[in-house]
Amino acid sequence: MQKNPQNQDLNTTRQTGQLGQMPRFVMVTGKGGVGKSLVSASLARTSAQMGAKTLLVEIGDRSYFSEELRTNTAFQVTSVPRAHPLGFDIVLWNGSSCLKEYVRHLVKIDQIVEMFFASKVLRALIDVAPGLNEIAVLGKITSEVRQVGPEFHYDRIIVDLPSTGHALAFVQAPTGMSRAIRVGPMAQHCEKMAEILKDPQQTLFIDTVLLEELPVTEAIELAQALLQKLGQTVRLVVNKKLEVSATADDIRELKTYSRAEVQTFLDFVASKLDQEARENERLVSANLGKSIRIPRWFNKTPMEMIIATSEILTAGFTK
Amino acid sequence: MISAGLKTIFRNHRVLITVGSGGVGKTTISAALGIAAAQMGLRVLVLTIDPSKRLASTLGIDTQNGNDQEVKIDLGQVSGRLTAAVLDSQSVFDQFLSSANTSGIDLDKLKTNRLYRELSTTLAGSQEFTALQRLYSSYKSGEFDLVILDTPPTQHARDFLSAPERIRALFQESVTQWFSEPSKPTGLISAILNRSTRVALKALEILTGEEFVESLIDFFRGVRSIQKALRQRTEDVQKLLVAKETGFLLVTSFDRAKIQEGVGLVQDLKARGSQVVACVLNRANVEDIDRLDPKVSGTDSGAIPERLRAAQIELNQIYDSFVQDSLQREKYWQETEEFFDDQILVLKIPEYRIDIAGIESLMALATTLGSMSATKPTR
Repeated sequence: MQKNPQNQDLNTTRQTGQLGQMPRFVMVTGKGGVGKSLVSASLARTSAQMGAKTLLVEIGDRSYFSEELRTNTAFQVTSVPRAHPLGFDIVLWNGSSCLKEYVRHLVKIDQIVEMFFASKVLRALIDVAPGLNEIAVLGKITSEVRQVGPEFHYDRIIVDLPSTGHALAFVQAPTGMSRAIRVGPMAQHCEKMAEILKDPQQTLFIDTVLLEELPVTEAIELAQALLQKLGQTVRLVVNKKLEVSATADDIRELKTYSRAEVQTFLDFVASKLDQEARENERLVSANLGKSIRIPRWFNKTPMEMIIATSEILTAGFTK
Repeated sequence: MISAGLKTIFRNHRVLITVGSGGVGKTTISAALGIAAAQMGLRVLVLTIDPSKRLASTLGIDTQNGNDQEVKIDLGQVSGRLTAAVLDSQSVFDQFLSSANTSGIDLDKLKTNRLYRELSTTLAGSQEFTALQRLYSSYKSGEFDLVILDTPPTQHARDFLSAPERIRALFQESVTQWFSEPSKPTGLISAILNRSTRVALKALEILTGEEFVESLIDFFRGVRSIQKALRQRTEDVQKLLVAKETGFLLVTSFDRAKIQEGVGLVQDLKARGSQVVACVLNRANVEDIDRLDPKVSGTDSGAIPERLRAAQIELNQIYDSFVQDSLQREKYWQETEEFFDDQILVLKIPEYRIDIAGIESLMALATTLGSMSATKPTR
């Protein structure tokens, strides 16, 4: 763990309020591998610390958090929300279970619902229908606001979205579906979902990014896409930033006083700083607005990282 | 110089498929493997989903062009050749349709069908279907000794591998039969269909409206002609995925979560009867860090000028952090390594200082991969 007192004054501190208010829905995405899931969990903790009844939603068939949020043993994340010691509830939802619940809600008769899903044809169609699974999950997430579906209450829902490409498909699914299906209850629900996603008072999009070429490129593209398709401005969380107050030049100069093996390491750190500065410049030029920076943590368990990250995020939001 | 391990893998396989979760460097590793294989004298094709602009420009390929493109790098004096192609869902699907259209159905009309347009680009699994379709046709062409497929990032191998099945399920005889009645939409609800199907379809109509069901009918009538070809192709692809000459390469990074996902992927693949031949552990560590002694301070305090002392202290601390971190990850990796049996070649790539996409770095990576021997100690 870094103990250097000089680091206190680096740019990760004094980041206050630039992320604005946390609305009811917070959608978190980022290129695969940048740490978006831990950022989601940190946001959930921040929300819970603010006093909001918070749900962290994981999407898919297999839970990532079951292992990462373990205390003594793996924490079982299921399709029914469960409370976690960090203060929020967590749930794993996938398209097929959400869809079943949805159809059951619309087509009240159980027998018909069973036949619906027993039909080989419809199952095949559901399996490949673009966006259907996504809509089912989004529908579940927004059900309280839309007052559709079984009762369920949270002040705030943090969604750990799939990575960038899929995230975009995910949030556009209701719009896409309304193009294919224009009437009927599904169409109306999709319209309402789209409305919620487009409203900054109700939904905040967070993009997690690393100061490396591909993540920054994807972040810029995603920001543009979200602005264009949903009229939403993302907020960036810059993750794993190397906290070094020495300059790259100083570090390179240190090489002359160091043993051979260490020189490679010093080169690495100096190059990393140069890279971070370069990529940061790209983000700044792209005018993506306010961001918050999370340092690269060392030797912390996932839980410790979540707590530490959450402290920084808490300062970044206005109450 | 290529180690026996990788050389053997290149020679013994016609197809290599890299799998791994997002953000582990799969595309770059795939490109580097392609270079290494071409340097060995093989005619290689690398099929990639979504190369970064820099990687694409390094390889000299145009990301908008879905055709095979010659890679413009200097391989040295070898008889090998490296070709690359960027996969493009829409054109592959259209091409497949055209080639499979045996009854001369009006494809232009089909292409204007709203559902077809939505489905062919966003069909769940269409990226995967495209990749596998392209893989198969390139493999069959005989133009290449080795085809390397860089897959879409996935946590679950089954998402990728089952894509053909899922699409095929939609085109089964029983399905297309539903919609091939020449009469009006309401005519579908005929006495011929069994009760549960009728009920299900009525429910669908209530949910989505008559218009949607009408589109579905048009769509299925249109694709009925390619049904047989689609089924055949799916079976061929499925066979290729478990063939002895097809090897899967897991790419993962030196991070607990990614390693776990990787292990899950390998299990999935083995369960399906596929061959997992190698595991590439990317960004394993800062170069040479495993040779450094954590107990010895990073820099010699002696002659350092005053103005650099603060930097020195700071760097020593960072160095300690990196070393501790690296030891932790190494420990976790060793626990996991047991899982990879002797049949799997394990290669560890250090964390490079800059993004690997510039030509020298890519060539250096290819050389590193090629010259590495397995990191697993012999027991």
